[in-house]
Amino acid sequence: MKRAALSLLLGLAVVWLAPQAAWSAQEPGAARAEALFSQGNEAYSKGDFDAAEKAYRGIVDLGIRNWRVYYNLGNACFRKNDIGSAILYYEKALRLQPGDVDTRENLRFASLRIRDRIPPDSTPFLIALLTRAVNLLSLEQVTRLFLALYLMTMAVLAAWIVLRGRRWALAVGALAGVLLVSALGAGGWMVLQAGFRNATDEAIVLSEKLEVYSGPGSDNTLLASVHEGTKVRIHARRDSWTQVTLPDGRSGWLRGEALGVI
Amino acid sequence: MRITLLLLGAGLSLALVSGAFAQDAEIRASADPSRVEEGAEVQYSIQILGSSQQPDEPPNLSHLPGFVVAAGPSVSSYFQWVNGKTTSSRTYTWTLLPQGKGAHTIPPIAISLEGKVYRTPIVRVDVVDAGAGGNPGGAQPGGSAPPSTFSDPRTRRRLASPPESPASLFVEASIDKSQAYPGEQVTLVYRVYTQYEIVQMSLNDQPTYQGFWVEDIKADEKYEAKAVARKEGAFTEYTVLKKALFPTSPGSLTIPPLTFRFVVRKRGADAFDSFFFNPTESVFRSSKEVKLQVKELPELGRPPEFNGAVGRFTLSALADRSDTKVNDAVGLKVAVEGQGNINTLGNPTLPPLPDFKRYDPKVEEEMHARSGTLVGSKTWNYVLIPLAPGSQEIAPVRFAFFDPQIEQYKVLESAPIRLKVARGEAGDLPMPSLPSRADIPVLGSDIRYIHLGGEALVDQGKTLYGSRLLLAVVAAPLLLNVALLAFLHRRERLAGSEALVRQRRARKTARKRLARAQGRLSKERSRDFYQELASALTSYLADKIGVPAAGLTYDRIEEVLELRGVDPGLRGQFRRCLETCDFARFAPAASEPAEMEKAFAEAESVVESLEGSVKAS
Repeated sequence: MKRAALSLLLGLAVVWLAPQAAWSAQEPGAARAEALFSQGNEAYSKGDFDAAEKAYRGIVDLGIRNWRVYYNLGNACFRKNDIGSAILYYEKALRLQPGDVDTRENLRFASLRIRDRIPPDSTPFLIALLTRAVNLLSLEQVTRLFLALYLMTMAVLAAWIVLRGRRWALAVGALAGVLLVSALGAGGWMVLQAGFRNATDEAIVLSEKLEVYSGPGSDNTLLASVHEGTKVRIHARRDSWTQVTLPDGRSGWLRGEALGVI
Repeated sequence: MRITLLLLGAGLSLALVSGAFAQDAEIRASADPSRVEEGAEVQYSIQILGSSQQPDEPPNLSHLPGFVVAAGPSVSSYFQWVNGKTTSSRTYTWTLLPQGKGAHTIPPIAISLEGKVYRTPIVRVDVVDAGAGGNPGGAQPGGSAPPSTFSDPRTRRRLASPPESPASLFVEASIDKSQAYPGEQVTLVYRVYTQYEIVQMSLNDQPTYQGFWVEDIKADEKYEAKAVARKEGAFTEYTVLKKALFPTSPGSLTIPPLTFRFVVRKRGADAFDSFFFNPTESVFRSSKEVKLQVKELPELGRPPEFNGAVGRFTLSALADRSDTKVNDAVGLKVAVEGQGNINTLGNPTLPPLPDFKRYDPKVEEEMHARSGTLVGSKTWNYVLIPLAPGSQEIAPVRFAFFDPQIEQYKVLESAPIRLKVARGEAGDLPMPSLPSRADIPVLGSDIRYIHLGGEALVDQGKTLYGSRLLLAVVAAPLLLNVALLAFLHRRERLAGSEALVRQRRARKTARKRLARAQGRLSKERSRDFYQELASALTSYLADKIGVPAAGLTYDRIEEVLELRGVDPGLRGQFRRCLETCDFARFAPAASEPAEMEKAFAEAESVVESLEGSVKAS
């Protein structure tokens, strides 16, 4: 029993510490990214939003995806009155840190400046609630939760194997069962979360005005025009044209270069 | 009589014919003189000859390019009937002031007479340099001379002596700068240059300045006279009118000509005449129009507090006391002082005062001219009611203005004001006087601030999810567990410890036997039933404690159970159960099924109880 508890603790420690040890310090770009980040923050606090934006973009160009960087970049774009980019970066930050209140609040605030009226969210209540629950933790956190539960399950299972046919075996087995169910739940959550995060089917309109045609090409019927900051769902691509669904549910084609994929 | 009548008729018809003939009117127009000095006036007349009828409308000269109408029209008419011949004329006369030098033309003026439209001929007027020879102005009979404001005796004396060259008089309008910012003071000065003695001066019309805020700069009661030499000769200069103009918007603005009427003393040829009869004449002069370029206020560096103040100001904010009580009013006096258009100053920016109730301020203004520049002060008296006790600080009041001299914006900030607010005494306040509670006021809204450093910038692009590490961490314990299971199995088998296997399977075996016994639960097979039941009990115990079943007598069982720490109640139960079985097995009569069922239940419960309390070897 003592051995089992010890191995369990050890397993948890490994799960929590391994990723940090593996990624944070050793990256060659990490130090450069840190420097750029504080440089950007400095410029932002002085009101030089161009310089701030440049510094934050430098981090993105290093290939580092971090929600704080996207969040700050969104703020810098907002200050420069580049609402489309601000919304795009807030959305990107939310992909990485879905539960962040600051980002949600700023996204809401920036969305007030969009010209197109966004129809009210018609997602059923339960789905919305579920989505919120799924987004409560970031993918990394859910993965760790899953791993912790899984390792606990495995440890308890090992204990059960040893204790078979003795006293406590039944209780330990029951505990293993409960843990297994929770680990599977967390696993499902993790997969959902990863699906949400890695989805590339949403985009933000970055140019001031974008025409939507019935087909790929400007000789088709003009259906609508969308404005900066509006979120569209991507379906297909052909050459430089992208088929999208507009917030009101209509579908059409528009020039893809003025879209920022989240 | 007949003849007379005939003659009369002929005369009448003749008169009618001649009357019809006279319908064709003649229109003449002339300017007197046709060559004038710059700034002098011209008499322009239109004469209608040959028609006794009045024109349908008096001729309209309101839009005459290059001229300002100073007076007119005055109308004179003349009618004569001589020997059956009618002569009539009607003359309209205007006093015009030509604008600028060069040749001016008065275009044809349309006159409608009895439905027929006539046009005047074109009249040419040449304007030459002042002093270059020309008439000082068309004479008009002057009025009486009221007390003169031009009472400098020196001037009077000088002007009383007839000058040698033809004297002249003109008005000049000038501004102190040709370029200005909106709201910047531009001083407009009208000066009169004269070689006459001026008896009286008045404005012909009220000046209007489109696109300006105008403030008068009070002139002195008596006009100061100054002798100046110009290229046209020696003049006396009077500054007659001074105005402070504040352009309201950027662009090119024009200050229109202003026409003055002067009554001057005419130089008589003989001194006696001029001394006794004081002959005067009235002349009109107008200034030239003046252009002013108004620049845009720069966008660069415009502070958010800026609301149009241009000039140079100082700011002060004072509270009338530093100690007060809740609900006890405090006066806050904010004053802006300096040069500029005080009237149009916008309110200074007060800091948010969430813990005070604020009333609209009482505003006081004071403005006066100091050496040609308007200076003054504007004071806002705010009444603040403290709502919460404690040490309150009124943050600096801010006021922004544009200084046109250095062409930069400046933001003034008053010193913060500290107020000690004591709790109001409940006793001396009317009942509903508790500070009214309100939601925390929304003073503004903005995005939330950026995240500052502090936490490591983890690259979230590389996730644990989907990584090999995750796969390894998931697979490893699973494999470990499988290995553990296999290992334990093997060890048990290798040790050949039958006893261990028996011990672990004891309960399972016992259950099987009990089940078999249950199959024999009938009156006919009662002996078999009890046999099976007894053997289930003994073999269970034997398996559990690892001894052969054959050696287990009642006493041995008792002994073994005691050794294993089974409590006496359970030991007794076990023994009773066995005894029941043995008794029934060897009894002559078969047992009733009810009894058998009871025994079965007992045996089952004994096994379950023992499973929990017999310690494994």
